[in-house]
Amino acid sequence: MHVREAELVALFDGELDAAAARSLRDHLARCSSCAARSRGIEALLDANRDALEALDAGTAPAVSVDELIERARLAAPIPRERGRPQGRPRLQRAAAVAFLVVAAAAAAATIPGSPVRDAASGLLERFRAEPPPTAEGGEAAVAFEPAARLVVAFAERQERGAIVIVLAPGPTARVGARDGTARFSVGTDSVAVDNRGSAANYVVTVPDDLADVLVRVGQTTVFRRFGADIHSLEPVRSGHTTIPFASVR
Amino acid sequence: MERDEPFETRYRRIFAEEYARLFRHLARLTGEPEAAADHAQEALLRLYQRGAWPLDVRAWLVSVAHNLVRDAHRAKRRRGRLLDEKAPLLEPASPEAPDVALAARERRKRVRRALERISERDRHALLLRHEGYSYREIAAALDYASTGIGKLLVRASRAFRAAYEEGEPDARS
Repeated sequence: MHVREAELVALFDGELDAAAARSLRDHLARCSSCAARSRGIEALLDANRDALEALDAGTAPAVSVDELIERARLAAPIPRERGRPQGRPRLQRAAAVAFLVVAAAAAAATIPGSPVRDAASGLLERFRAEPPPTAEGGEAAVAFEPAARLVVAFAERQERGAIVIVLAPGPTARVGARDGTARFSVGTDSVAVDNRGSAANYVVTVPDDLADVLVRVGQTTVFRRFGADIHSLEPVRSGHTTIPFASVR
Repeated sequence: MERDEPFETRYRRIFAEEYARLFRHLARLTGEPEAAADHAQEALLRLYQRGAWPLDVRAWLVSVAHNLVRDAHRAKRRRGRLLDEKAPLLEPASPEAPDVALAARERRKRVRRALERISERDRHALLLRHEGYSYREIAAALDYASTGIGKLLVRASRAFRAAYEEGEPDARS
């Protein structure tokens, strides 16, 4: 019984456990045919290693982990230096920004005729039944088309209120606030919600066909969709989930 | 022990361990160090945003980075091409004599052409192994059976060698 080439490669790569490696070496010492194949494989791997070393790139450009973490927290895309290939065409970004709607009195969940938004509105009514958390009341929303993914980052956990996440058809993402105040900063694929000191309720409408979605409160991920996998702090039923801030660690 | 480690502490450790490694792999894969650095940083940024640890962090980072490379290539309408004559080729850190530099540049082009000719999976497997990723990590990153990695590497090694030798100046005559 001769050894397979895959075993020989694994031997040279140090991927065999000690017993298997010893057994294979013993065989090679006894079998001239396998020993010859072994030398051939070793020469092939050595030659390829030499060739691939021609591509060695030296050291990676320095980058601060603190800066990277800050960018991640702000959910902002990494800025690229001028002259480098852009990860996303400028026109697409311009279109996304052009699509931005900031409406002081038009919450996403109140557009008439939409069953999804009616459902979201109904969910919010549950929270509105409680005494209004602030005197301001009012509504505000942003809407845009994320290019590839969506990150919604709330600055902090609130003492009161909740986030209603609605999975909806179409390309548009919306983040709306009710019964309180919050400020929105919209990036190409992200919305940063400055909810410090607020007690508002929120509706986050997630485009159904967007595979990569993240909703964070402070540093805690409360909702994550990656492909078919959905992880949510609260169960997702009938295309939506309600996450009270009280349940966020 | 890792389970008890706070998220941010472990993230910083993983960043220190994985950034340079991922950069080297991506730089060899794309031939574009600046893009490689961007993709490595973006993959690590997404790991932080993920807020939870994948089963195999290294494999997850590689998998995300490969997707970023694919997206970038698609965006540049360079589907299927690794070699771009206009792209900056990797230059060695130390200065060389002009004839040595020229020979090195020609060799790099030849290696890149050979990599371009083999399948994406073979290319990824070969370069990941060259960077020292384990069979288990390669299997997880490429969504491949771990028991088949040895066989995959044999095939990839032979395919690369054949393509490389085809590119030898004497072999073209």
